Amino acid sequence: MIRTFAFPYTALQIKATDLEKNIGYVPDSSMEAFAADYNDVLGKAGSTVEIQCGYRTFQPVTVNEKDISVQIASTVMYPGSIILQQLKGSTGVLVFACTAGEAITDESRRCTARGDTLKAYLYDVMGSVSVEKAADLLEIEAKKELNAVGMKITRRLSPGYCGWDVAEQNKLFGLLPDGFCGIRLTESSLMRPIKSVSGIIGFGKNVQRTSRPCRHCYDTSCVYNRRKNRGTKRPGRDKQSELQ
Amino acid sequence: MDELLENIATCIEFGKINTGSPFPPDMRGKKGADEYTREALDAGINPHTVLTRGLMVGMDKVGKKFRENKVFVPQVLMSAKAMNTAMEHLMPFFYSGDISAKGTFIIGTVFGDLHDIGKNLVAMMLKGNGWNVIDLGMDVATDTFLKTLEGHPGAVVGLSALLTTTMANMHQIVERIKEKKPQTIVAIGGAPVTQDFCDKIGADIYSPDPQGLLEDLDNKLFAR
Repeated sequence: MIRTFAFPYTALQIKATDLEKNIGYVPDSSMEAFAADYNDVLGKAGSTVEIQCGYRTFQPVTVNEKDISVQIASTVMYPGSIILQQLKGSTGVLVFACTAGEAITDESRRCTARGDTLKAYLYDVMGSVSVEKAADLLEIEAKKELNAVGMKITRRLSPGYCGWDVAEQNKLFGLLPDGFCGIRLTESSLMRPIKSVSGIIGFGKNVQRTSRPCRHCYDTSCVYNRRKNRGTKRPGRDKQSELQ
Repeated sequence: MDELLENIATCIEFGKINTGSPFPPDMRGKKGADEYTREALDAGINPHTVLTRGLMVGMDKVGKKFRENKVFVPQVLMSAKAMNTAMEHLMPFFYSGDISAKGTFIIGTVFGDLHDIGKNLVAMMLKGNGWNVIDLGMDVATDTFLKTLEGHPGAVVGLSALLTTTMANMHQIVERIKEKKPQTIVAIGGAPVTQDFCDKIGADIYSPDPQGLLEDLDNKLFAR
C-alpha cells in the first residue's frame, strides 16, 4: 500500500527557535541579533517550502540477525547492527521519503549569488528543519494507522546514519515508484531535491521503540554524532521522544 | 595606531560592518570595520599592518570561537561580511603589490555533491585570512581542478564533500592532482571526512573546522 501526503507549510509550525536549535544556539539566545532575519525567512518560507512525502508498506519482512540484513520484498539490505537492533520484532516496514522541494534551495542559492550569505545559510537551515518536521508528521500518520491495527512502530531509520551505508539508498528507492514524491537519486546516491529525507520505519506487534540509535553509535564521521558530542540537539529529534 | 587596529579587530570579531549596520545589537550606531579601516589608511598606517594586525586578528578570534562552539555560523558570516567590507579599502594595495596574498587557494565541492554552505564558509574565512580564493562551486570535475591548477601553479587545492558517497570521489581527485603536480598541497573537509580518510587517500590537510585549516596552512607554508 502506498500513501502520500502534501502537508501545507503551516502544518509544520516552524518557529524561529527551531532554526536556532538547528544552528546550534540555545533557543531564544540569538533573537536580539537575528530575529529580523529569522522572521524574514519564516515569512517567505510559505512560498518556498513545498512538502511532499509518503510511504509504501511492505509486509512481511525478514530481519536476519545472523548476517545483519533485512529483506524487504526481494531486496536485501545490510543496515548494520545498530539499525538492526532497532528493527527487532518488526514484521513489516514502511519505506518512506519526504522532501521540502527544490524552491527553498533555489532561494538559498539566489541569496548566495547576490552576496547575502546569512540569508543563504538561513534558507538552507529552513529547508533542513522543514523536511525533518514533515517527516515527524509523516511518522505521526504512520503511527496512527498502525496503532489502529494493533501495531507499534520503530523510529525513523535512514541510510547514511548509524553505520548504514548511504549507497543503500539506491536499494531503498528501488522499492518505491519512480520519482516518488518528486525525489530522484543521483549516481552518488544524493537525493534531489537536496532537502529530502528517506528511510524505513519498522512495525510489528512486538516492536520496542528503543532509545535513540545515535546513543549507541560512535561513528565520528556522522554529522549527528558530532552534534551529539558538541552538546547540541538534532532538530526534530526531540519530537520523536513524544511519540513513544 | 594600536587603538585603530584594535578597533578594526574588534569590529571583525563581532561582525560590525559599518555605522549603519544593526549587528551586533550592542554596537548599534557605532563605527564599523568599514570606517575604522578607512581611518587607519588615512592615518598612514601601512596597509599590510592593517591587514595582519587588524583584520586578520579579528578573523582569527572569531575562527577560534567558532571552533570552540562559542559562536555559530551566522556570527562567522557577519564577521566575514565585515572583513569583506574592510577588504574593499585594501584591494588597491593588493593590485599595486603593496600587499601580497598568502597564496592562491582553489576550492570546490567534489563532483556528485551539491552542498556548498560549508565550502562557502571556508572560502570566506580564507579570504579574510589573506588568501586569494578561486571558488569553483559545486559538483566540480577532477579535470576542472587540474585545469585551474595549471593556471595557478603553487596553489593549494581544497575539496569539500558532505556525503560518504561523494567523499569517496575525493580519492580520485587527490590521486590525479598528486600524479600531475605532486608538490600541491591538498586540503579536504566536510561533515563525513576524518583524519583517517585524509591519510588513506594521501591528502595533506584535514581539519574539522575552518580555523584549523588556516592554522595548518600557515604551518605547512612556514615549514616550506
